[in-house]
Amino acid sequence: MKMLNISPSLKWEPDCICLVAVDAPLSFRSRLIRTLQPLFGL
Amino acid sequence: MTITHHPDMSTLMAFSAGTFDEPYAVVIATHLAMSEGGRDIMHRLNAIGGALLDDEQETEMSSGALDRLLAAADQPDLPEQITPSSDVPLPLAPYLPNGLTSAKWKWSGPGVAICDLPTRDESSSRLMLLRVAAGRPVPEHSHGGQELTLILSGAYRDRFGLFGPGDIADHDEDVEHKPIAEMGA
Repeated sequence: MKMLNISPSLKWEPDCICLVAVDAPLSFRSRLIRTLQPLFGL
Repeated sequence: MTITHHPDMSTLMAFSAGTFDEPYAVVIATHLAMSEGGRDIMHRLNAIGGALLDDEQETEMSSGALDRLLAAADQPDLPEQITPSSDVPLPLAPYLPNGLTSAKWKWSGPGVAICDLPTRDESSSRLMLLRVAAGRPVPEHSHGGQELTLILSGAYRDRFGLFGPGDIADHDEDVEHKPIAEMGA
């Protein structure tokens, strides 16, 4: 079984690095925010 | 390096015609630096573009056009102070002069970090590095139009398949996907 190597410095190894172009600001919205938004009428 | 995911032909044609904003042009140029097959297609598209120009009616150039063209041709591809790093393809070197180790990562969620790469043009488009820890999903996100994602290292998988180094995901705003970084890629 392959084990993840998690060092004390929390270095992500291995990981995936991508180069990205988008034509508008990329917005990440967490599931928590999406859940809370309707509750607060946002 | 086996590349299985290529840009859409319309994307390559836009690059060949020089109509892309800087962020998109950098992603495609970096992909081409990693893809011999992509470079072959680009040579053909450039030849087609040249043939179409040959068929155009001759017209008068603006004053000084030839001087500006020759001056641009004399410009070095890279500023002299930049020594290309071995861990980034040449088109990316001006944006990361000391390679990936010099990237300034900003935390963007559990196992996800972003590094903005400033560009010189004033378009609204954005160039950045995205780093995702193995086994983690890229968070759901929205964007106003085309999104180009080129894998530099590692791999991710989504409903379109496995994407490794040199592969490119070319999506418009209608595509929904949730890539997950591969373990041990």
